[in-house]
Amino acid sequence: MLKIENLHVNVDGKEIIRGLDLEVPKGEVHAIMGPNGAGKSTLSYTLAGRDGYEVTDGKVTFQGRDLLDRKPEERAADGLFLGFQYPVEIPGVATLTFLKTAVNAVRRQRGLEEFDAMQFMKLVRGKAKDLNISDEMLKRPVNVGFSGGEKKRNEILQMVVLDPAFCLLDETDSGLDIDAMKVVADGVNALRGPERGMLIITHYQRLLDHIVPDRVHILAEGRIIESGDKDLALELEKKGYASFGTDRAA
Amino acid sequence: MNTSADTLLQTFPADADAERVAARDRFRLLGLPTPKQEAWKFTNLRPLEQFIAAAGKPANDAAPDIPAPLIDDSRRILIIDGRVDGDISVADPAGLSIEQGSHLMPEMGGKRAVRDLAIAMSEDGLRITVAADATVGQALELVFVGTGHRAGGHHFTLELSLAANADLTVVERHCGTQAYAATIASAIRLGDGARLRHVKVQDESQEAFHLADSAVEIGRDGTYERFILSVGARLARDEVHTSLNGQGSSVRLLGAYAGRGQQHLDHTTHIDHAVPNTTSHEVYKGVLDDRSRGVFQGGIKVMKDAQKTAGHQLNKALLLSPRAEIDSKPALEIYADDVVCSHGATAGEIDEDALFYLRARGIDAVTAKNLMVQAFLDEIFDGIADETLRDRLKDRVHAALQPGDNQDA
Repeated sequence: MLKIENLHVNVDGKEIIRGLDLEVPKGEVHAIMGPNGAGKSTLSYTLAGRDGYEVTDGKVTFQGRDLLDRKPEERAADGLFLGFQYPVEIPGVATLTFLKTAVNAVRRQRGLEEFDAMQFMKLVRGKAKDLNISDEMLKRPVNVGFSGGEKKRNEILQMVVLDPAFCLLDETDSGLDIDAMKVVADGVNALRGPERGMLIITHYQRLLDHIVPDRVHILAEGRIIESGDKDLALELEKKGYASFGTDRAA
Repeated sequence: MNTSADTLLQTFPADADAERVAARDRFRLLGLPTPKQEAWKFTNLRPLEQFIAAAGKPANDAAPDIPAPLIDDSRRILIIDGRVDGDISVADPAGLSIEQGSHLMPEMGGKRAVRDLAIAMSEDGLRITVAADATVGQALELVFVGTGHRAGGHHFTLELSLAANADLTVVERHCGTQAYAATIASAIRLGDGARLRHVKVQDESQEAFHLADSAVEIGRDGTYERFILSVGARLARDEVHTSLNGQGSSVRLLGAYAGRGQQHLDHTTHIDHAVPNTTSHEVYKGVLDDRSRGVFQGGIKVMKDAQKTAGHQLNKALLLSPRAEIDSKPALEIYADDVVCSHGATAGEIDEDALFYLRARGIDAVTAKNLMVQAFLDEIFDGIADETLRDRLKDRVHAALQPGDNQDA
């Protein structure tokens, strides 16, 4: 479903991703673990299409189609969702307005009929409740004044209503206490299915206790240096990144 | 000596009273302001001088384009090219009285060039008064329409006088087609406990010049709430001088402006806290695109005796183009020691992080940008209590920000 071949990415003229290969078939959940500076966020921003991430070599295909020549909004419509490590505050734009604009923008690009206010509210209300998101929170400007946990729950809400084919979650566990992590993990697990792929990017193993991956990859210095099943994460937690041949310890 | 001043004064009436003559003489002596004067250092009137020098070109004779009301059921007065249209006089039991052709309260407003020009050359004016304790339920909508029929320009004087505990809502709207120069001098006096809500919409023709000078005096416990939306004119300056003369008085000045093309939009305000326990609150927000330029000058003066003054002032500008410009000059002059005053000015660009975030959710770049620009401005509209009016003004500013907006069409 998502296939990355020999990817090289420069940021500000410096090579951060250095020949990364990775394939996530549909129906599978993969995890990428890596120390600080390994290139985790660079990978997620590159996949989502952010300006300033210059692909110098390699290829990324998503559902059989070249991903890298697509605009960010087209990638979202294609079904790629990036859950941000640091969700952005947008003063003045109510969360509901934002969600509705996004859902209908994506539906329009997918050739589906836009939701009217009633249909949209019905969709959001149910999903928001599962994630402990109150009506009051939905009225507030996007992420403004939200706690760390609220921001991450808001990311998951966006993911759920946008109904993506592939979920890319960048350090979704950062800034979460254990209860919030449980809520977020439940939200993610509910989306697991035979047609959907997921890539969970994380520094720590603990999120993977709640979202159990099919495969685990270790990212260091811009490439995958080791792959294995879920036990690899536990082994990594025990031994530390240093034992896997990376000199940048966590 | 000053040719543009002489041209502007060409049709000065022979039978003018002493006040007009004095205004004319001052104006003739000093002429139009230049950037050499501190108060005008960011606004150069040379394009206006050039327009005046070239005036005399054939006037068009299209019928004036009268816009739909901004407030439903308002009492409307049309002023076309500086002349009141039709018979508008009222003196109703509600305490509202409107007279035509009057001059300003002569003792008010100081001697500034725009004021002098408008007073010297106005062919018409309005004096609106509200009697003590009268609440005028029906909003008053003054619609100024410029047609470009009259080469050179048109000038007007407006007097608003609210006696003790009177209450009024006024919408002052300026629009038009073609090229013209419009000046307006206003004098606003609020008696003790009086309350005036004043919404000004500067939506002049994109070829027009708009120069306005208002003097405001507020008595004990009086409240003046002003909102200006500024989207029109090639060059506009809206200058407001407010004196908080009575204890417990307050003023709120809100402004939203949106410039495109080569528009120049200047908002200059002065607030004098003359006595103790007065409050001022001032927030202007602007969005500037293309090569447009915004100017914000905000003076707050707190006199020696004006203890317990609260003054707050903020100008925020969003620059959408690298060639857009904002000049912001807050100036606080404080002679009392027990006051709470703040001022701030920010100029920023679209937040790239937020833009990417919206795009990553499937919203295209243009829509995402619009959403953020509207959000930036919308906050200021919360200051308008009337929901219908608020929505209409929001729609207007959103339209003004779209490429290809042309009010003349």
